[in-house]
Amino acid sequence: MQPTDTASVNASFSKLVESIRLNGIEEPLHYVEDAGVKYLVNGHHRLLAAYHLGIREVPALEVRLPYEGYRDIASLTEQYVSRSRFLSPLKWMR
Amino acid sequence: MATWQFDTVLIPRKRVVELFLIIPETVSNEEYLANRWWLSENSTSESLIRLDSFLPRRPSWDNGIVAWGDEDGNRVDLVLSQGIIEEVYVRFDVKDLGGSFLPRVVDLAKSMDLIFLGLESRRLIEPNRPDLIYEIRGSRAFKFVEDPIRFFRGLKGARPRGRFNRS
Repeated sequence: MQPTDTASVNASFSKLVESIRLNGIEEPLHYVEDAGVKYLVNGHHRLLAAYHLGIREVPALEVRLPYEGYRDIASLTEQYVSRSRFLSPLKWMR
Repeated sequence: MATWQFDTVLIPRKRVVELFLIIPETVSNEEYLANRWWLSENSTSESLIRLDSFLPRRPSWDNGIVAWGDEDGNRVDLVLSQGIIEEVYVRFDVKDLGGSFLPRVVDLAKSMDLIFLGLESRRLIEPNRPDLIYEIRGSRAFKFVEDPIRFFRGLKGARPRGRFNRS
């Protein structure tokens, strides 16, 4: 399974490791299959925790991407971007 | 963590200045883990309860975590250790940036003089919408939401990364 993100290690991560050590992974990881590759889309911290605990098999569930839930990218950000260009010009020039 | 979530933690500006004398551009993972950020901010856990006004609580898998929002959506985790705040973990659902969550969390952070730390870029982000959106636009989560298939096919042997060095 191919991770698609980097799990950050922070305070809640140490609690997650302890929880998985005691109870195992209760909620299956989610992956999407594309062109024969399984891409992990939800559960990166659980996978990293399992790795640290030496767990080599994890429960995983194939899901479909919620494409219908996505908005047009412009609608996601346009209202903020237009303001950003005025309020943070130095950042936009980088 | 879901690929469409943009991960941050909130930290007190006062503590950043105490540690660095200035507001640095970045805080490395090592610097973040080596410091206690909330020791002098115990009373702020009460202020964070204001999250109740715009985000429903959800059951947490750990007694030491007070959790709001959806597991794979907009969410806040208040991590406590013996009643002291250890971490305020905020994840933004990049599919849902147009909702009320982002501006209300920004307002909360601003009112409490907190700064976001982006966990991907390690950059400190001022609590205002333009700066936060700027960081989100550069994130993996944004690239995924923009075009998931292109995002997948652009991955080159990504592996789970991270270092576990807390007891």
